[in-house]
Amino acid sequence: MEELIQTLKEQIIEALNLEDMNPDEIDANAPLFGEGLGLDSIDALELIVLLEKNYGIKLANAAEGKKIFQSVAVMADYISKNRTK
Amino acid sequence: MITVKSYCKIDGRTISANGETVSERPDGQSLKDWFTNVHKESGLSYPKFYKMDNLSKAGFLAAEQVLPENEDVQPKEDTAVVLFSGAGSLDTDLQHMETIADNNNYYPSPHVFVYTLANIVCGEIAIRHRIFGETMCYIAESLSAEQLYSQLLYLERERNTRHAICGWCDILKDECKVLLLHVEICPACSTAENEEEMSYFRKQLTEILYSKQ
Amino acid sequence: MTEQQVYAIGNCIVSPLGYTSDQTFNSIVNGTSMLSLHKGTFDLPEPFFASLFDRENLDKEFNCECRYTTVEQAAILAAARAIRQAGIDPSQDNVLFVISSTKGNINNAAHGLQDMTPYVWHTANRIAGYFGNRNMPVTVSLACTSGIVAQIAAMRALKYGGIGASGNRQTYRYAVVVGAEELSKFIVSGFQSFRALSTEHCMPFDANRKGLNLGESAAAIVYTIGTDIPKGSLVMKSGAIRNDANHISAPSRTAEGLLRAIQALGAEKDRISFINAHGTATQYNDDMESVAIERAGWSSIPVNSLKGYLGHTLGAAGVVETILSYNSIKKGIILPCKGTVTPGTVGKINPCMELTAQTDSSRNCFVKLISGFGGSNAAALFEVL
Repeated sequence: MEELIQTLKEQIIEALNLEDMNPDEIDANAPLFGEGLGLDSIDALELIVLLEKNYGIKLANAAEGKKIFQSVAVMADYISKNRTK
Repeated sequence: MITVKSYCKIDGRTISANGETVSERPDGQSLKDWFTNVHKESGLSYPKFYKMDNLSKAGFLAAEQVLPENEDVQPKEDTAVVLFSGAGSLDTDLQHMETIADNNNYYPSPHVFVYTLANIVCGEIAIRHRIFGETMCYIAESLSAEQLYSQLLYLERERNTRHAICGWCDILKDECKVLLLHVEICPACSTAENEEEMSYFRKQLTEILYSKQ
Repeated sequence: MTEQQVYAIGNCIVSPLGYTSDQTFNSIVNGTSMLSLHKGTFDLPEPFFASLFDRENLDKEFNCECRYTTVEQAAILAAARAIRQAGIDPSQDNVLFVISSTKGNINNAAHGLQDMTPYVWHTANRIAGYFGNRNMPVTVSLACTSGIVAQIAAMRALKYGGIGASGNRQTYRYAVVVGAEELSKFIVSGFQSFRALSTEHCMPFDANRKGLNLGESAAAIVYTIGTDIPKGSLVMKSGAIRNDANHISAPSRTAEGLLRAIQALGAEKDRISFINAHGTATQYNDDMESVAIERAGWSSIPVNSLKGYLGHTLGAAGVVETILSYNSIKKGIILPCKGTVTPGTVGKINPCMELTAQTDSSRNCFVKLISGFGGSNAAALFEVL
């Protein structure tokens, strides 16, 4: 799981162009939206693409993402249970 | 009366403001990396900058140069953003095309798609400087002082606008040409006939265009 | 001296519902729509719900051996019919073409940039060039607001003239505003990635709305300026463009830009028959518009969205919907929102749910609202004499 969390952090930084961040600066348990990384609605949509592209997980709508994108740890947990690639 | 207060030029090699070099692009560096470095060196921490496409990055950087350093970033409705572009969003359009060309590797990206409109750069400048005024974006074959002046003249006649961030903003692949002006518009102090004013504006614009910096 | 006003002397809609304004308007009055589910169209892996041209039929109607793309055919056809109705010579120097298309011929860049055709100014030149017009066309690119912004640009050119290439003052007698959009894998895939599309018929201003439907159309309006305006004419009274200064895709929750645009119109509330909203049927757009309308103090005025008939026709929408609203006022009716079942928005509004007769003859004005990516918003006030 640690490995997946680390990979996921790197993928998020790349997909969302978080130029100023490095993986160690992201707290796996901190909220992704709101205060946390200052992500917005386009970032949420981009995370849906990330899940599909890298892990073969298809989300039906953005609302479903809300639960999964709580934190990197929650995302990693969801990926490990649902990944198809 | 329409008065040029400041200007910024960006070409593939140099960013200059009011005749002075701001940054020179190192050999072999991509536009994206160059713009990123310029932004980092500016000391302004604006995380959304890194999410922008090159067109928006260029317009954003140029707007930073033409607006006063001590600018009061308060909501303002008396300021307009009027940009012309040749390629518009084509640079990003081609990137979006790549993400959808092959249905076996089909991942259209919302981050890319949102920039496939030429006016997003106007929006980015408006957000940064809290401009609630008019944002206009035109596609034209080339920069025309006459077309630009006509648009500014309209803003003067409509009497709602006192400042405009305006000019030409064009990016395609490694080609970049930006000329951004901050002009002051004073409907009450128009004295010269438009033709006289126009010929002065055209002279100024030509001087700026052909000056080395 | 009476003030000079900008008014229309010709118009035409080319849509999947018909190739004239009357055909399209009459189909809409009858509640017809060509919105349907398309599978495999444009080589898209996912199905989409949209209103598309019958390309073979459009080609027949265009009836020319020359090579024009779908968007050019539709634009030229609409412009030609509006110009014929206006009875003007489009090749004259006092005619200015103003073009509105968000993506023009972007389809031609599917295999990379091979020629100039994907440049929108090139498309604009092809359209104006077809009519032998030598003025540089004005091409607006303000996302989905372009169709109204183009009309505002035309109004200003007619009122204030311009500066010609020689530096001399130039005046225009006529402006031909053309809005046109064809759909493609490019556009549909992008909106799908934004999760902005509904896979069913759209439901503008409905509590259960699930997103927008895209559509293809073209429309043209020929404007002129003068004081001796024939009865029944569409007069463009005012127009305003304002930015949200908030986010590049999400509209302002407090409708900062649209409210400011509405307030700049100088509209008299008691003269307005209805507000023709953008009403895309996305959660955020419709809520934002409802907030703007409520904040403007216009909650009681009937509101409609025409997206349930033709879909969201992007760069054409502002021009198409202006013509349809003009026809509504002429016929003394207010068109209902098609697809809406249970209205539900954050702001208090009065959505028109069934075809309604306007009995108050002093209400001969309508307001058109439109918003798009880049935080752009525009509003325009029209009067029918």
